[in-house]
Amino acid sequence: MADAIRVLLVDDEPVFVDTMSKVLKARGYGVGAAAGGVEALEELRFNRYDVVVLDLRMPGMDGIETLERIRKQDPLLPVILLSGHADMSKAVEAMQHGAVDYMLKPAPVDKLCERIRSAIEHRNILEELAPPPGR
Amino acid sequence: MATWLSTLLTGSARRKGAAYAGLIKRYDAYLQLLRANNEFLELLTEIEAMGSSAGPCGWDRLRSDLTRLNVQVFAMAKMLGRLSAGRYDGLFPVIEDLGRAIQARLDRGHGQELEGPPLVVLGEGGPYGEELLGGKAANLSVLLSGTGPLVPAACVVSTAAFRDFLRYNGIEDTVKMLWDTLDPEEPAHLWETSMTLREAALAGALPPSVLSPLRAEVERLVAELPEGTQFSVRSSASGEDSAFSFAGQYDTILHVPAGEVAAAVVKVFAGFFNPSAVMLRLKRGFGALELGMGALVMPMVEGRVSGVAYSTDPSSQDRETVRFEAVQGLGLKLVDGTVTPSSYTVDRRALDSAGEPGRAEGAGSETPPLLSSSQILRVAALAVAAEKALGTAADVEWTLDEAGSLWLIQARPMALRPAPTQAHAAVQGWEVLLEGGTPASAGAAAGPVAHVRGPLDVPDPPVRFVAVVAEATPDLALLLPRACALVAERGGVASHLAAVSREFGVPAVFGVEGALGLLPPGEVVTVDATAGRVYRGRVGPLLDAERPQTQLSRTAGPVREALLDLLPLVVPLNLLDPSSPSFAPSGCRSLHDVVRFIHEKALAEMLSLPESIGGGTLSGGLQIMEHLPFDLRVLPLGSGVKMPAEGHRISLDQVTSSPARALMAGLSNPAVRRDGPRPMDTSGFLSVMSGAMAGDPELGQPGWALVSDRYLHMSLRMGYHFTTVEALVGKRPGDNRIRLVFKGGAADESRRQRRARFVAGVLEGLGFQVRLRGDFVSATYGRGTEDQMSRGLEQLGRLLACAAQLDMVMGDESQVRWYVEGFLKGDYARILDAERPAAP
Repeated sequence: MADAIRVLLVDDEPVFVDTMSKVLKARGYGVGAAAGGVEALEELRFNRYDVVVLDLRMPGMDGIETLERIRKQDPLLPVILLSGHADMSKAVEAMQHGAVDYMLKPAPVDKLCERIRSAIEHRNILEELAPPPGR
Repeated sequence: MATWLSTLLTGSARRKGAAYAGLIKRYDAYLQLLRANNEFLELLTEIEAMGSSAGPCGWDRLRSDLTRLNVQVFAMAKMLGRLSAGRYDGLFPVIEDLGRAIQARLDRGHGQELEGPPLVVLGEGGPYGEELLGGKAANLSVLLSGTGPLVPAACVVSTAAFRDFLRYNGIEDTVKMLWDTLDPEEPAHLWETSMTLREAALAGALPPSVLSPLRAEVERLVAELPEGTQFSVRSSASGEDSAFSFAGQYDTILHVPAGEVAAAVVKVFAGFFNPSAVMLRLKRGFGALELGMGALVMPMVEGRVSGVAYSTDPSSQDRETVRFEAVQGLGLKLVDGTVTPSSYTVDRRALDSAGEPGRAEGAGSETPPLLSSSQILRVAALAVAAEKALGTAADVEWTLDEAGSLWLIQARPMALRPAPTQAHAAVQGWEVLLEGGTPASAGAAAGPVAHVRGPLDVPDPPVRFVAVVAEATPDLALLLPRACALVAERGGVASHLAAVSREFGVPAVFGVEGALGLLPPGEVVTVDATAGRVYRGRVGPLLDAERPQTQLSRTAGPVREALLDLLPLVVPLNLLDPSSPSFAPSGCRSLHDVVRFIHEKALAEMLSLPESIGGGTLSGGLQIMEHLPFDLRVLPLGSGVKMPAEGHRISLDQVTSSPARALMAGLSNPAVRRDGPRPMDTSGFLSVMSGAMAGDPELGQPGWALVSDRYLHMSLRMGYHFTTVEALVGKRPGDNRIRLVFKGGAADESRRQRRARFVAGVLEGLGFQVRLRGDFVSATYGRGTEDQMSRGLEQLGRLLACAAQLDMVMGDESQVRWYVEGFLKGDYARILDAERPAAP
């Protein structure tokens, strides 16, 4: 589907990535994956994505740092944070760094898809009026 | 895009771009704020449900809901910052403080990792709770003290042992990791994952720290009991055997020879991962290993007659009757349904007297009878004793052995039928005044109707009344201690007022069209919020059925306690009155307060949107070709208009903005047009200026409509009046809103005031909430469906068109009423031909 929404999953747990990819693809999303922050940034440089779903806790470059770098690289790209632990201060930190939402695992797929859709909607509004650099 | 943008704005290209981009950013922030608001209210509903339900709930769910709640509040504050250029940054420390306080209460409640012995002999050591022993074993140990030696000697392999078992066999980490991938909506994956874990557990072995004490105890029992005694091994899970339990989800293994007890324990442990049990735990918000599994080991009693007894008859809920069933042999056949049991009922009062045995019904056709009269009484007495020991109605599995000893095998709190949550049929014999809407808070109540316009509009004398309102606004929460029920024409279930109604236990039903018309003030009515019905009079049967729910669950103890502890920081709405000085960040005592505050301020910011980006940079815009009573320019915010291929003129058809279409339909309605088409101006556009003072430079200003598909913000001067209309009309009634501000201009004071009274009078008649101060009117209409909102806007359009014609009139007070009535009846001629006012 040419118009499929493309989601980049960034998570170091292969089981989670596998399962989530399957489920999202079944719902018509295009899915890419990266096992960590560095890989994610590379992936974003070379491929187009509409939204990033990012795990907060990863070895190496952690979620918050990855979030910061993604925002710098592409301020209009929405990032949804996923975490396996309920940590209020981390959640607030994530929002301060510009995440559009913070969800906890296990995250019901319906909710996640709804978040993705509304994040895209907002991005479209902004993009129409403030074209990204280079266009 | 860039080219037509430049035709719309004046000033340097850079200024234009910045101004427009600023507009878009604010609109975007507003929509995000609304979304976070809705999410917050839904989460609030969930948390309240957790607090008031009798079912179990998990730490995981509680922690995650609270974290998400905090996230939404923070997001809203951030968006408000964008709308208001940081004016309300004082909110952030308040939010942080609340977050810290909530976290502190959560931490206080949440226990450390479970400590306890791997094997507990019931009746020795302790006292141990349900968390270590599991539900079945915990109930039995309570009964051991209550009913004495009627419970067989038992020991339990504890939930601590279960945890050690998982670690020893390397399963613990796998469980945690896989749990995060589970989704109750993806049953196939859930099934696969559960089975994988089950297989892994079945292949495991009990660690030595568990195996040794277990073997020792079994050997001890074997020595004491008759030769050849076998054992039963039953699941005893935490969270099980409360009234809303995982009944039937776990395993029971009977006839286990002494040498195979350890293997049976492993099987019971593996049953923790039965797919339906996993699903239930997941749905209830428990973490991967938040609950645990114990195994209850008991010597088998070879029963001659066995059965299940209920200390209260479950079908009639009659507290005076014990009911039980019996079969020959073991109770298993009964619960399997393979044998039809005999039924007995015993009057409880008969148990106290030493005299006549109670009646035994349906004793069955067996000869000789299964049970003697004295045995019947003993079984019943056992059930009652269990009830006393557990502190609540109980169902009991019992068995009578060959020697005539009565044994209690299992007991658990009985699930009494909860209050009906499904819609039920109308009660016969009472007139139904209206039907419809959605229950916002369940229950039923009766009282006299009062049409309530605002939170202070309470009737005198102070009886508990049924509040009937046009719109479920949050400030009505002030009413709730006084109101026994709430009926609203407009409003949603996930709203502030719904949440507070539930907290107060006030039955409420929203979205009931026409309620104000159908429920006359003073009439005594019964509101059945659950079914969405209102009856005339007091419906006894409905009101009597309102029994408070019995809290039967004990297993969610620490979680519920923590929840109740922090509810005051989350749920209650203390900030009710936006005009009060305490309506400020410092007055926020709960997250709900913060959200309410932010929502209110965000609306205020949106109302002043055009000014906020720096007046004077907007000009040009798109002109509407249809007849409108004034010069109106349209500025699309990313959507709302089908752009013309070239030029600046569009027809009404090209307006895609839902609220704008509706308003303009009203404005251009021929019925409210005065006489004939207006003269065209020299440039060829239909540009209409009303009033005789065409030379006034003020009147030369066009009105502005900022639109998107769902949004409209219009400000205009019509003659001497200044009007602002803001509307959001989309699929979600909770977001929908029309706001109007109307201020008279020029003319003398008394005329301006009468004009304002006309506008206010009409708006009230249309169902708006109106505030009138001198010549200033502000009104809102909210939370309706798309249709309701569009109709409201269309009427508003007609009103504005009429008001434009009103400059010459309003000679005296009596005329105001006359014109209001005329408008509401659709008799616009009254107003339009007003140079010749008819006598009222």
